[in-house]
Amino acid sequence: MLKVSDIHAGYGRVEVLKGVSLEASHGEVVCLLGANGAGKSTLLRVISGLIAPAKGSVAFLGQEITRKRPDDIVRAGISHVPEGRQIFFTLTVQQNLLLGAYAHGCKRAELDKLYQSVFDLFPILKERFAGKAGSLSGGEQQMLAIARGLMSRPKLLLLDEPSLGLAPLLVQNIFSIVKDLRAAGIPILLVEQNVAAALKIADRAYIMETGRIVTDGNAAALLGDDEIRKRYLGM
Amino acid sequence: MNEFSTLVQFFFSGLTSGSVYALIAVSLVIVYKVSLLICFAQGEFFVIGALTMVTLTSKGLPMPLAFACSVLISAAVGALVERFLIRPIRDASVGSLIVMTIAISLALRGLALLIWGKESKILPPFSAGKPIGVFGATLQPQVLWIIGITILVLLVIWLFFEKTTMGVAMRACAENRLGASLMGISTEKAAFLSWAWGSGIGALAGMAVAPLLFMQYSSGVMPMVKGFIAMSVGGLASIVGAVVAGYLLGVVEAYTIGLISSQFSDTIVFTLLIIVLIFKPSGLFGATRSREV
Repeated sequence: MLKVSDIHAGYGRVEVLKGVSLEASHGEVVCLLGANGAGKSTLLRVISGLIAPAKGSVAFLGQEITRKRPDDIVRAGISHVPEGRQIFFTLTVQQNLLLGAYAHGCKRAELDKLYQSVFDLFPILKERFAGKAGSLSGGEQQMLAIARGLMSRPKLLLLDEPSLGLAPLLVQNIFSIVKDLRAAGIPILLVEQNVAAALKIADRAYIMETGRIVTDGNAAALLGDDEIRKRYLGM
Repeated sequence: MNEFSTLVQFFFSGLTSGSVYALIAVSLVIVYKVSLLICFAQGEFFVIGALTMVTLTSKGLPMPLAFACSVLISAAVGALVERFLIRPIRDASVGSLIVMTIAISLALRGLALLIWGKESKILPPFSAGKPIGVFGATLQPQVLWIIGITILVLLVIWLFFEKTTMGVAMRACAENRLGASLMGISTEKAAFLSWAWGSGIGALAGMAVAPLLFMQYSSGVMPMVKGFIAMSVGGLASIVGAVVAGYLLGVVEAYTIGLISSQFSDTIVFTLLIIVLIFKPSGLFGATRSREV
């Protein structure tokens, strides 16, 4: 479904990605692990069209999407829930969600249906609907970020560090939502620092180090691998 | 006129210039919020709006039609300026961008000189009618037009930025470019529209006040400076702040002219500005912004 081939990309002269390839198939949660600065977020930005790669290609559903504009990529069916949430604090929850559907230019009736479908996943957003996003708690903000990403009815969700800065209970909450989404048939490319938790819900995982994929494989197998446990889980 | 009616009279003139400053300040804020750029050519749109309307009405176009056309023409000029002069150097330093808007200001002023010549023009008032007496002071009907237009403009701005998807998307761009890009919102389109709005509103200010002034190609300089002051005192990025500061500036200035000295009014007003900025550098309504992650 998603096929990233030999991507080289960076900021200015600094090359962050040095030939990254990965794939995600229908119905799976693929986890991208690695230390800070390994290039995980940069890869997501290349996929969602925020950064043009110097070399390599990205294909989605058999269609070449390399160097397309972000709005075209959203319309193609990829939704990127970025690191740090990047929700609009001065706008209301409703306005944030509205913009999630912006690329599709939705009609009123359609929007109401979409709102309803995100309320089913995140009932708290229904209560906070008219309030400012800035007044939400950290966990609620993360839910809003994911919900906003779902408003474009994605065929693939890119989730960047959804558990960052959240209390353990909320982290569990977010991970159970990831499971729900997977059950609903939305494949997810998940970037996480919380390696143990991520490997538990993922089907497969890639491990990145300084701009390259160094290991990949079945998530359960990686979780059982002594070397991986030692390096990434401290066990 | 007794003392009280004199004070009322000054208040009316304060409201008049305050409306102009408020509108220009708001037009600056809209451009600034979306493209983080202070457009020093705003005074020229004030002039272009007014002089276009003078030309259109003198050609026999009915007032309402001339009014609408002048706003649209000015907005189009602003949008074109953004598209062809600002966008190509989008990623340049703030300094270069400011120099660019100053250059645009001078170029547009030259263009206005070329089109309308040196002599001052006067626009007929929007409606006939005798001045109205209020507490012994006289109120020109045009002043009511100016205040009415200002209120209407603010209402339309509020509706656009609160109720329409495009308006909400422009606010999103102003607040968080990365987040907005990920929603598929084009930051370029938002900047383009913000210039159209800004120059349209600047033009409206000029058109509304033109019947009370002699308008010529260089008449935009002082209103631009005052609008910029109102913007700064209002906190740079706050529409409400810009409106309040605009009216405050207009009224303070009117009383300074009337009660202290017309010669030194600008000096006094600017001194007050310096005092405000020393004690409140972020302006009266400037929120101390904390970026949450």
